[in-house]
Amino acid sequence: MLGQYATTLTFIALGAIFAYSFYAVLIAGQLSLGQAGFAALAAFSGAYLAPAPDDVGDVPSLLVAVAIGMSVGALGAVVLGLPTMHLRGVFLAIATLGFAEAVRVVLLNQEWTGGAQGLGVPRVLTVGMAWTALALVAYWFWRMGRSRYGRALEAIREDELAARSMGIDVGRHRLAAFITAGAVAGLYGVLYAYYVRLIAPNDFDFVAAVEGLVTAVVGGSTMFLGPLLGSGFQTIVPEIQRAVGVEAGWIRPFLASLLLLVVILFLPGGLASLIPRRTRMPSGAADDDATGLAGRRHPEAGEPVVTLSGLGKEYGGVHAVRGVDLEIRAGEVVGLIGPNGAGKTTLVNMISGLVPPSSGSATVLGTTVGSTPVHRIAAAGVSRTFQHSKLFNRLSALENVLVGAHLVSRPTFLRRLFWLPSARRDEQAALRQAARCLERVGLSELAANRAESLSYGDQRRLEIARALASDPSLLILDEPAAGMNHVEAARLSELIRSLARDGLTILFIEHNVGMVLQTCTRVVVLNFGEVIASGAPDEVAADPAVIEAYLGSAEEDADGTGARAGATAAGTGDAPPDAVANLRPGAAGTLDTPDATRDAT
Amino acid sequence: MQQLLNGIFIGSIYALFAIGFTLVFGILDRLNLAHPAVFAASAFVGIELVERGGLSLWAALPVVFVFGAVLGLVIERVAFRPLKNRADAHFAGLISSIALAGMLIALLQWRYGPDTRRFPPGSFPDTRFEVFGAQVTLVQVVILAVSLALMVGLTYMVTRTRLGRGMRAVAENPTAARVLGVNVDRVTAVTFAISSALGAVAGVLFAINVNTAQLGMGAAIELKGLAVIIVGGMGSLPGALIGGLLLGLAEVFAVQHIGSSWVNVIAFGLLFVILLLRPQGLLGARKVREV
Amino acid sequence: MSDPILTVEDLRVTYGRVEAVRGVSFSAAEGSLVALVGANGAGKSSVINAVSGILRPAGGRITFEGQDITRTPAHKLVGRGLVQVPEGRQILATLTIEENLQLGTWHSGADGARSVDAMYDRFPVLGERRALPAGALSGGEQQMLAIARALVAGPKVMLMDEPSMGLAPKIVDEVFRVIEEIRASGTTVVLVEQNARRALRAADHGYVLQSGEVVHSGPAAELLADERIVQAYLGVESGT
Repeated sequence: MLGQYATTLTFIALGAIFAYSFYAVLIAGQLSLGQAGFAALAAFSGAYLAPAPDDVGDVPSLLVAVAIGMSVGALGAVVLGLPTMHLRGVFLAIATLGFAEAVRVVLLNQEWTGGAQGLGVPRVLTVGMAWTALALVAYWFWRMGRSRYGRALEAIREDELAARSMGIDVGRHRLAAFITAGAVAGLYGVLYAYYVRLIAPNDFDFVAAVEGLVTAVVGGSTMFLGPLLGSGFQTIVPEIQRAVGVEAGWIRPFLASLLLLVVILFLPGGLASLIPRRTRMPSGAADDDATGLAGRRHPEAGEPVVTLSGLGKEYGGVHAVRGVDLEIRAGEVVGLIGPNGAGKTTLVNMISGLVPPSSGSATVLGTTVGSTPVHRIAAAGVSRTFQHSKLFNRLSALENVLVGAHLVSRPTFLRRLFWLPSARRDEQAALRQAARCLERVGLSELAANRAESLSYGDQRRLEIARALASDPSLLILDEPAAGMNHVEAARLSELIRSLARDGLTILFIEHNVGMVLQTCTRVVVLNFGEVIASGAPDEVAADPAVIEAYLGSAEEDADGTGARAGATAAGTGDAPPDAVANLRPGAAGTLDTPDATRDAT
Repeated sequence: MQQLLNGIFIGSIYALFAIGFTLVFGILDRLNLAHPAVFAASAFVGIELVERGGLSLWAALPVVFVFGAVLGLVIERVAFRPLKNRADAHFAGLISSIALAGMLIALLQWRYGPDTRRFPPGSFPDTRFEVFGAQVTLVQVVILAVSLALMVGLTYMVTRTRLGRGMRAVAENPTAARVLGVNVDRVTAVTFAISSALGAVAGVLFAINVNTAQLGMGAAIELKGLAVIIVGGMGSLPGALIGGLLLGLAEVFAVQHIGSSWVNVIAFGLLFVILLLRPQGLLGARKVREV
Repeated sequence: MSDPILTVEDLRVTYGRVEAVRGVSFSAAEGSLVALVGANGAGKSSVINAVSGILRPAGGRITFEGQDITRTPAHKLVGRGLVQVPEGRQILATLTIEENLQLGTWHSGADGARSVDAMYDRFPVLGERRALPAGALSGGEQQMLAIARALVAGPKVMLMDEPSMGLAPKIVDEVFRVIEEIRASGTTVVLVEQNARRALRAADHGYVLQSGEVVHSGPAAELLADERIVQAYLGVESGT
């Protein structure tokens, strides 16, 4: 029974394992086509170096080859990954593709590989072995999905910048994902070699790489069953066509391509999106027990948290921020206000390490800003929200906050592989922390909803919850109340004050000046990149320079309105003054008065 | 000398093909992987036009140009426009264009069968010239002339005409282009048409150069095209030209001095060096992204 | 008085489930200057973008010269004389100044060249540097370029989104002088501004937006004189 389908089943398993090697990086938002190269290196070195099955038996021979192959694949990924991990999108894809091609050509020109004729390998792999290997790989990715590591990768995929700001070392995580891809591709290469009897470098060409990528994407790159579904789909479609008697050589590839097009156009998440995704909720009482979370030392009230001296930022000749001196001490709630374009966001971007200053210096929680990577500054205790929400859109609200807790939770993936109870405890602790933060901003009810499906106000609150989850010493909020109505804004103001009562130092940019005046212990006003006022809310609100910065100068009011009335008459009726005669010359092809052209048309 | 000329001939075809890639990338930031299928399809269509249509080699070129343009419109409409607002448009566009390429190749197989095809005997004039002691056929001269003419025309179009300004505006900032009244969808579609038309002409010229058309010829040049646009700089037209010529010359000299089987390693070695040292390519400008 | 050249009724704009504009209505008489003011996030830009066809409204009706343009895309509206000067200027930094201006003539064909020349007379600083990439201009000059680029399209209604943003006071004066000239030439101007006093001083009629709704409206002079408006705008009320 099984024998009849054994070949098909084996190829489904092999295709799925290869697709997992693409899934391993797609899950972190990376597009790599180098897996064919890793598989080729692994297949040839494994088959060449491992002892023959006749000498040591089938399974030991295969296992040794697998060990060699996976190591070679992972090593290849390190060698290729170190110089290329800074590349993004298609650049990475083409670089890795180039690597795979180079590998193929080199192997073609080696004696020991048999060149274009290929290398004979005994068939050892059975359908059972193939599926066992597939099960192990799928298990790996299943257990990874809900670990701290797996969430971090997904966060990087959704929004790299926000992930950095949550303290995730993006470079290291991307490299880790790439190495995993290399090892899995290596596994595929060896298994393939021990099944097809004869391997040639051309088995691992560009077409093979594209096929692996297509399988992973069709299956869905956001759910661990995706590659399996994709491989099933890709393998079975031609089989079904054969079964129903489609014979002509061109119809099969045509229909397969057409189906691929339909899937990609109409099933954005791939086949796996047909499977509902559940969000695990924290179990047990939300007690305030913080075991399982890494502790943090917060500065004592009054200690300096942020020290800026002469800080400036220039963009192509434009001074966005210049010469800002500012000290923020622990326990303060500082409101940063100023008109649009005053440099507020640039200033907080420098404080949180996203933008290096062009002059002056900044020390935040003992860390010097400038050359320090963003995730280090986050690790020092800085947490922030963004002017335009940078949530991890396709993750649930709870998962967003869990990523926020990255810095204070412990790595769980490896322990989750072995079902260690301590991993479960740590995950529960992180979940409780996330649930507390969601509760604090009033989003507990919506924990399981995707971030992108939340209302605007809820998204802003979710960003705050995510920022709180890392137990920060300094919280930076960039226009948290933008777009909120006054009821929501009032609630937000209350939340910020309650956070301040807990000892959190807060720096926030806001356009709703009334809210800032009510919420802050100190207000700093920025205009044209410079601090024009700083002090207690009352003083600042009464400062004429501040009022002028916001509303424009008040002196000319009477004149202005008077002139206005006159201009109205002129504009709608008579011919305009000479100065504007050239404004609309094109319409009638003359340089005469525009009013004449208006009448003519 | 002979090598130099041969390198320039093949390099000009690479450049023409790569320009099609880079044009679309410049506008959409996406790779159109159906481009190689257009390259292959037009080679077959070109041969059929000469064989059955009785057209001369050169009369077939404009027809193929139009054929490519139409294919480009279809590709944009089917594989790219529906994905415009998708979060995963980057991956999805690759896959949808691969799917479309698969369909195209399958259709070629249906119409022309799986075998290699050639131009009917006698299609080629056998005029030869001697240039600095090297042999050059009329065909080669025309190939070079056509590629150069198309590239000059394209450069003029992009830098000097209204449509070209519109294309550059869309490439730099689609929103600003829209505000100015540029019909972004139409400019995008026209870009695809031009890109595919150039790819189509490159396909025929390639088929003329080697007197063969194969189903796999697109896949073979695809990798070279990708290498060329990275080396020259993504989205840069002169970059694609220089990259194409560079690759053509490098290949010819590699065949001469190292051996034909190592040709691709040369191409990708070049690619790697560029990616590591100058990721924006020889002539590419790095796009500034806002936080 | 004749019918308004531009009418917006019960306009609603949503981003996914986020409602940015919740039923805004206003109109602009031909040749007048209308100001929409309000704090950041009040929905001003969304209103402007919906009118100019950049955004698709979720509901409501927009009429221009008596015709329904609610769902007309931007590229058709520019040809009909409804032209936007976008927030943040959106000049094309890698194109030359001349090319930026020529893009403004996308719909006006052969007459374009003459209107571009006219802009050089009007803004000599642009004429002097016409062959330079627009990115080389200062912020104020970029704003002038953005305005000039809209003017070459021959607008009947000009939608201006935050023209004073990030500019020094002296430059802001200059920008407003140009805006006054434009309206004085008979072009209707709809001005979105955060700099409320400045905008209202220039305007005939004003609308104050808050959280996607019009909370006050009236003749600009009256709004300007009303202290409550200033307070509402500053947000002092909303916090309490």
